[in-house]
Amino acid sequence: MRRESVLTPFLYLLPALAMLFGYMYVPLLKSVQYSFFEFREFRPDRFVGLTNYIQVFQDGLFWNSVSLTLQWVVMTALLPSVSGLILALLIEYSGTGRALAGVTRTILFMPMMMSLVAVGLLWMLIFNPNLGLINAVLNALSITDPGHPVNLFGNTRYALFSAFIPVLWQGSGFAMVIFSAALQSLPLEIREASVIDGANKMRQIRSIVLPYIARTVIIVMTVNMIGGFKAFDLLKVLTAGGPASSTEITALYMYRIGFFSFRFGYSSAIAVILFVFVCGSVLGFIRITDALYRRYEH
Amino acid sequence: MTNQFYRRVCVSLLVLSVFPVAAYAGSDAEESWRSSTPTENKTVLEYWTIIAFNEIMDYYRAFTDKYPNVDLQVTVYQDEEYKTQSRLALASKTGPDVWMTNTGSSFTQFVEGGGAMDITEISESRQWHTRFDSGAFEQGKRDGKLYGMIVGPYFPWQALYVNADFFREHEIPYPETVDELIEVSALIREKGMQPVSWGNKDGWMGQLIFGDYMMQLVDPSIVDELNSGALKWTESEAMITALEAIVRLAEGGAFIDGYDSQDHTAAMSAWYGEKAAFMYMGAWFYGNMGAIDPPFEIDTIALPTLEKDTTLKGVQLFADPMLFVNPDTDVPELAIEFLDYHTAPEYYVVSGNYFGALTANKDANKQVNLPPYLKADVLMKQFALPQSNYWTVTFPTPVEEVLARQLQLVLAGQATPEDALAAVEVEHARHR
Repeated sequence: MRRESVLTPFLYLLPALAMLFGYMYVPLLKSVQYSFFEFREFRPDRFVGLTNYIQVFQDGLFWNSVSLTLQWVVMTALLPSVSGLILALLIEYSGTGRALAGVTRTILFMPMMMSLVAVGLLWMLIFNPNLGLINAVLNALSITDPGHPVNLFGNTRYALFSAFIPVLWQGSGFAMVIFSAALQSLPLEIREASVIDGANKMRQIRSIVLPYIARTVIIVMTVNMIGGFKAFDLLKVLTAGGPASSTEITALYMYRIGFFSFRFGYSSAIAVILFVFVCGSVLGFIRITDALYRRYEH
Repeated sequence: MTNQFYRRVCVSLLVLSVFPVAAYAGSDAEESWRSSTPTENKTVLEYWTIIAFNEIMDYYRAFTDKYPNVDLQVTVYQDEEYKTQSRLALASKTGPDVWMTNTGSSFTQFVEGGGAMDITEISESRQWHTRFDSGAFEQGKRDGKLYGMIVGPYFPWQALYVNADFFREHEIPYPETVDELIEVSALIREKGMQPVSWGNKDGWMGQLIFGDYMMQLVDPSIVDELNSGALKWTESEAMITALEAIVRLAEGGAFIDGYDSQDHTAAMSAWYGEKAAFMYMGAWFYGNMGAIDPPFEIDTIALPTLEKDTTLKGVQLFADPMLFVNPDTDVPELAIEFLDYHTAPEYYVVSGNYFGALTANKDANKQVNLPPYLKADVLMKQFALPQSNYWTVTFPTPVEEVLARQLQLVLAGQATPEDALAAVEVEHARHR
């Protein structure tokens, strides 16, 4: 009887677990299996051992994609968190109008409600040198002319940073809402006491607010970092990895090799490497930030 | 825990498992039409197609008016679904009496797989070759024998569409060569417009412009040589020449700013919106834009050539699908009559008007209702030239993918033409 009652909650979870297992864990294990095979006619044809892994590590385009992924992840972890924090501080501490703060929070959070595909399509049009909003404004102000517009994707060295602007636009609102909630939970008495002690706003933020919300900062940055590793849909729509391979992060490269070149064994090897890399990076990040937090806390 | 609880769990799982099955069953895009009810005692003619619109269905119905004892069964598939179904039918010898597939290597598969009847003698007796220009007719031949005829619309490239009003207003001459196009592009930019609008975000338009410049240097037989391995990508001087010409155009400012990060729809919008003086695009843009004309006069000029005296050795033309008779048909005479009916000039007029495109039939092209710039000599004369399929679909798909990406890298200055061709050769060697 006791045994049955212990199992009961798990049985209720069974349908969800079955779906999760079927759609996530089985493909994950299959990817590991496929990474040791060469494919022909969409089927694993020949066991090739570690050949796919060796080829991946010798592939210049793979390392280019890894470099871009790292840049993207660092930007995703840091920039929206910083901008979200600034926005939250401005909203929560720069005025007294709670209603206005609420409206502002809603407006800034709105981009977060859009799908990344829609964001990609929107910004693709905004960025377009000939049809886009940016050049329309610049042309109207006579800063540029239609024969020589500003092309934000024109330089492959900076294309990734241009492609990041929509993430900043969308992600800042999410970070802002989380930080706002954390700031609202800060007891007013502490800040009032610091004012009596003569602390100005900057000192309050440095000595009271930031330590108080440090955990939240770490959580937001971790969530953003994982999101950065998962980046696919926005870049697929916005740049498709281009111009050339200047925005082709590893997830896009893996997708292209798998579903366009039909080298599923090779792309599975990339997937496995990426999986290990993401797990390692997230664990490393949590350990580092945790250590920093403990040090700061004491 | 009761039996009732386990029953609920089982029912839940059963319901969940039904969803994918239901979704799969609902995804079948096939639709059918037949000329009479199954109870009537008529000769059945089965036909599989991917072309379905009201006018063409009326055209099929008219066939049964001509042959009242025939029960024409038309099965319409979506394009991707058809590829699977037709290949399965080819392998299992369960194809219909008359069917179709894409031109080029796909058609070769059906001929080699015994899915297409040799109609050489019938064609000679019925003079079917008179319906087509030689280039179009040759597409249906394999080893000198005729197996099929093109029924799809024709969308030629190897041309630029020009905003004639802009050139007239600024007295800028039309360019004829690559070097002239680069010179003209600087003038165009000075006058506040962009030169050639196109979009290579997805890579396929780069393959087409590369194919177009290759056809200025070599004839389409190079495709077979590359596919068989008789010629390696690294051994062709023509490829280096073509790639260098395209790079020269890119570096010379002849392409619209942002061509490498925009797709074909943005390219069309830029030209229609008078942001660019030229547009590099297949003739299908007209139908794709809803068969409307932009607010300026249009001229069609040849894609500027590598040299002043360069002549085309061939063209890449999209003319899918190819229609053919199944040699296993029980009603060969009737199937041939249907093939004859389906490739008559009247069909091509119906098809051309629907798609807003030229067709493989030269007589019908005179009657198809298209604007003059889509019937320009520079387009019409392409029909007589040797034809290859587009360079987006003429090699194995993984090779096409590598080619597209390598062309993007070359245009961005991240790879040399030699390195790019070497990378394509490595991929092609895997698939020969």
